[in-house]
Amino acid sequence: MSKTMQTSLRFSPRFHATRSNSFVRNALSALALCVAVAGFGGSAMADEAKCTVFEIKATSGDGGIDADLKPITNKLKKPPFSAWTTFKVVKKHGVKAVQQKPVAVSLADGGKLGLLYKERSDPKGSKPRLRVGLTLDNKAGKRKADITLKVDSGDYTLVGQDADKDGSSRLLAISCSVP
Amino acid sequence: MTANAIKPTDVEIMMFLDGELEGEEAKVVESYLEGNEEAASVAASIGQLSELVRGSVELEADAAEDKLAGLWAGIDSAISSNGVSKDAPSVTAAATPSVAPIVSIQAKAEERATEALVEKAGWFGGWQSHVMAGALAAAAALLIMYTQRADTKAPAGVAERQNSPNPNGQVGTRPNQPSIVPVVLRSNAPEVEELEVYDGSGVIMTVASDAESDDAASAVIWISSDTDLVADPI
Repeated sequence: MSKTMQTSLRFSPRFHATRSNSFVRNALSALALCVAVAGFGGSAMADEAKCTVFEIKATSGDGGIDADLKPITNKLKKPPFSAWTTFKVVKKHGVKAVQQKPVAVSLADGGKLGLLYKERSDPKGSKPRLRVGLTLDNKAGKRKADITLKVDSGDYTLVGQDADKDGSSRLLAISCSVP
Repeated sequence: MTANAIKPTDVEIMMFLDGELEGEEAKVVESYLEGNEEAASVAASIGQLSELVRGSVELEADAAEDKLAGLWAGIDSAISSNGVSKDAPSVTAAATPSVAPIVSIQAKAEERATEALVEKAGWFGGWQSHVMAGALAAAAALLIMYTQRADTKAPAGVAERQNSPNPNGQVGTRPNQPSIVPVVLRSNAPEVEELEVYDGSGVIMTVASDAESDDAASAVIWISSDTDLVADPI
């Protein structure tokens, strides 16, 4: 086929129809791919929460409250925590919680905290709301408590227990945040 | 023409000199020229004339390059407008007045114009759908990212930029300058949906938010164990 013939074919209505169909197919494919990638990327971002767990030892005395506990300092001055005056961070855990994937946090006393980020909701005009499951096991692996709660992103949940014989207590402060 | 022919025609001699004869025909003309000085002289003259014409044509073609510059610009313009521009001169119309009336030059110009047209239109035709699809996909991705970002709520205390000029239509000394209005998202009290305590009991409390600070209310779950707490801590 000569070049002149190629040219006339390339600009013929039939050729344009073929090119147009090809363009539409390519465009739709690219758009679908784009939507899939963007949707996957967006959902992947929304499906992850950054959680912080503080293990706190509460005692009497004048040790004050650790600077790391600033987000909950005011709450530790109120009942039932006002029974203690010193709050020291025993250990701080940073946990990345993927939705519907349980995460286990080993506690300093040998126990275990299970954390499950279940779902997220975004009420209009409000902070993102997270539904979180918590499990507490003692150092022998025996289940102590099973908790499901809904909290705002970034808010702390405090878990405490009765005082030991020496009057001290161990507390857990748990917070999860999403973008 | 056959091998028995004594004298080839002038046309056959010219074809032989141009290398257009092959095989037996070429041998016949060649042997005739070798055996006939007069014919060889005529052939030499024809060859010189051919060289002269060929050289003249090439000189004219070289001289036409500059004259055809405008023509190529017109062709480029026609290609960029997908051949629908009426301003772009046609190949034949532009070539005819600007070059010497030599048919071969005009044919050469048309051939080059066709090649350029095929080359450029061919590239665009071949990649048009991909380029357009890529542009459309990028636009769609930006749109999706924008809408997803718009749906995402900013954390509490984070300021969002809004276009909300004051009643005078001015902010400070610059009219219509976008102002920054802090948007504080409302906090909701925590909800404990389920609490199960094994070998003990649990109490759910809420420590209210402090009006003087940004603290939100917090859930407090207090676990009392029936067993010895020292021996069986959380």
